[in-house]
Amino acid sequence: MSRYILRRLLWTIAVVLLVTLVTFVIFYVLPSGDPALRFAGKQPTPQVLAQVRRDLGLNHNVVIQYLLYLKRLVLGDSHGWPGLGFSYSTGAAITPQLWQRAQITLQLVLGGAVLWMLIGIPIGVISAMKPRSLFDRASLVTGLVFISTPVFWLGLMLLWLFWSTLGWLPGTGFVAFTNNPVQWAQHMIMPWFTLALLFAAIYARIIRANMLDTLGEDYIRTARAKGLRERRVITHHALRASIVPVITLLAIDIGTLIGGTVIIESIFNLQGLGNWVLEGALNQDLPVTLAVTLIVTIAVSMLSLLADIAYAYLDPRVRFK
Amino acid sequence: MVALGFLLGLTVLAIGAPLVADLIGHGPNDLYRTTMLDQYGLPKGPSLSFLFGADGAGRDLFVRVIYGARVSLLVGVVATAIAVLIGVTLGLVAGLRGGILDTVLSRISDVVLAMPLLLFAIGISSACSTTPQGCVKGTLTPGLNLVIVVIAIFSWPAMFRIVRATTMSLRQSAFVEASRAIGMSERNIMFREILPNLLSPVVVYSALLIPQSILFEAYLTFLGLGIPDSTPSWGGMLDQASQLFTVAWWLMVFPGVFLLATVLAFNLVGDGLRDALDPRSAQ
Repeated sequence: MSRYILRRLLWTIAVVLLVTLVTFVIFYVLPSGDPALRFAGKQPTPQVLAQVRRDLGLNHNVVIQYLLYLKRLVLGDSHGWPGLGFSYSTGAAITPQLWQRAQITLQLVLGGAVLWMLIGIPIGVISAMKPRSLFDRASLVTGLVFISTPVFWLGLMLLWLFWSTLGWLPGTGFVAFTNNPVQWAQHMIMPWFTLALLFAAIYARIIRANMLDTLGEDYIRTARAKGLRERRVITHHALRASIVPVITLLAIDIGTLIGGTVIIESIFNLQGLGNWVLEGALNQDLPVTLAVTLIVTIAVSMLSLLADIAYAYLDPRVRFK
Repeated sequence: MVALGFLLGLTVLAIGAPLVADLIGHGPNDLYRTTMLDQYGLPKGPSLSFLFGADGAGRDLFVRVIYGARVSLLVGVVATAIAVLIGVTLGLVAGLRGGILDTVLSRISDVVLAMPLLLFAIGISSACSTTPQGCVKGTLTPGLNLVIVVIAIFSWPAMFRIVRATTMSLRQSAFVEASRAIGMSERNIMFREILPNLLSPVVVYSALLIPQSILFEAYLTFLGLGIPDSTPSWGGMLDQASQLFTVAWWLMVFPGVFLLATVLAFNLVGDGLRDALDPRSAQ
């Protein structure tokens, strides 16, 4: 087990290093023109340009620039750790704001994940218990529709129906849980559902396929043969085996979504990481876009490391592949 | 079948979009400010001459939706084609050669798959859009070609994995052994024996890659980082709808239904192809 963890750890470190290199190339090397002009925001003054050159070490050659970039990241800079620099457009340090915004995104993603598991698992299980039944067919078709639905369109339709037409829910924006838990939930419920419907469809499909495989195994027949109730066979034997692969998937999806909720955050005006990246991209505030891309990708690698370790713990066959 | 029919019809409409525009007499960028905007500057809804109503600038939404099909289909097909070309070539090489080359290529695909693609797409689009010269000495400028390249970059690894795994198992199969035993050259084995057997997984996965590419383009354009507004695209129309949907439902409903129907149709065709070409998966 420890050898497996070590191997995965080394690979994760390699991936993180590669990701720093890729982001460096995308933001520093690939675009044409003066890099200082890109980082300084719209219509920079000569003073700001000089400061950007000094902060990022742009008068050195590319290799040194990359090493300086790595050094700032690993050791931190004058704005805190990790060293992600300074937004020259808004005049604010990036690191403190990153953590603040990450909390909103996490609330959105974790709430959505709970919701899609609550919807997806039962549908997958019931479909697998009676394959080709009316319920199974209906859920497959509905699932395919939700997989094909553009997320932003679903969000806009929900807003149009529940806010603009029926007036049941407040529109866009965010209220902190500590300020008012009821309003917090009212504001989060549409973003949660927008996120969850797509993933519930995907997870229901996966759970159904896993359950169908597991239900054909010998030990399920044994469990039935020794007279266990069908309910117990499903929940204690079949579901347990079918859900292990989903755990890995869940960790990876949650990681990816921390950066993938751009659209939902922009529709519902939640000031999380996704909205920040978008603002950065639209206002030519490159340090922000770079910082979020980098940190979220590193977070995804870490989560996938944790997921693999959990998986190896639950399913010993994985360790020896 | 319905899905295939819908896609055929859509393709015909997309190709014939200028004809449709001529027939109706409204160009995709013609402004009808006096007739189709009310005294507050808000667009008017569907009528006989404006089937889907007008958009926020007073343009004919029906004509724009038809034109929008062009962008979606073009991006979907071209980006998928590039991704398939890269994925199949590298997958074949990795699967046949093995060794260090295989390890390196597999690791690269792992890293690309581990990246949050929307975030990187936003990053690349914004890094390449800050100056009009674009990226890579001006070969990648903001707009259609940047969107296609970004989608292709993030789409090939999945295809690569499928082709690599299939090639590896084919290489050890009995009929390839037999060809080798009767003295067939490696080159002939690759083109005559292995490539034809790769056809069905590649076709099935390509069909499923197209709707993903179409959605991805719509996402980027919706966020204001894809196709510029002068070119009608469904993502762009829905971006405008997000400002005006409380007063103009048609702005949201028509482009959205077309986008959903197109993606759904491609997904249905992909699923159908999979069931037809690989009966084992049809459970």
